[in-house]
Amino acid sequence: MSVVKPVLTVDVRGEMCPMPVLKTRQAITQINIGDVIEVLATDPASKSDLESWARKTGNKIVAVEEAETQAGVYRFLIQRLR
Amino acid sequence: MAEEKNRLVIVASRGTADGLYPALILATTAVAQGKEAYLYFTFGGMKLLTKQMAESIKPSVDLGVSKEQLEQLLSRGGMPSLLDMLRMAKESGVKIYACSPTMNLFGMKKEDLVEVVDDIIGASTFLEIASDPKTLALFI
Repeated sequence: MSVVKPVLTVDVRGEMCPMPVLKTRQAITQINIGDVIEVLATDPASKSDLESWARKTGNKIVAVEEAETQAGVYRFLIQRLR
Repeated sequence: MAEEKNRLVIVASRGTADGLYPALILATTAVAQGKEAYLYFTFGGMKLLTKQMAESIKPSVDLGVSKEQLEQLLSRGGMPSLLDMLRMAKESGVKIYACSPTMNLFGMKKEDLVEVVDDIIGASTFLEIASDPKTLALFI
């Protein structure tokens, strides 16, 4: 669906709150502004938590989708904006 | 419109795993959101800052699981131990304060504390930190 190519993948499948947000934050500091990371998560709260985190930190969730290959796995593309 | 609160202050007063995890989770997440975060450990919460006690902290009876069961459940969810979470909090920039009256009460010394403590403070200093209008203060 998206042609954006992530430069880094954060695989937090199986991990619970707050790890998806903490590890996403750690990863985003390692990429350049404008670049995109991919986050794979199964925590049911990860969607609202990462959206809220992105709003607070001024980063952008480019896409959220349920992975086609694995039910219950969310795939986020997040662009570092600052 | 009121200004957004950009500082989180938590009093961690309970010496149980289920009393301490929420404090650590909220503080680390606050920093990840770009806020300042302060953890003030007092009474039972001081166990986590005490070398001799930090590793033996159990869940409360109320939680209904043993220490071993809880540790198993937490590690399945990728959650670090309480001490590792405390160190993570410190590394990410959370300020860690020990409660001076609790230390007096139990005859604790600075050498008894785990290495992450930023300062030992009392009620007056705590209230000053918590009184900033942009502070959200929670008691756990």
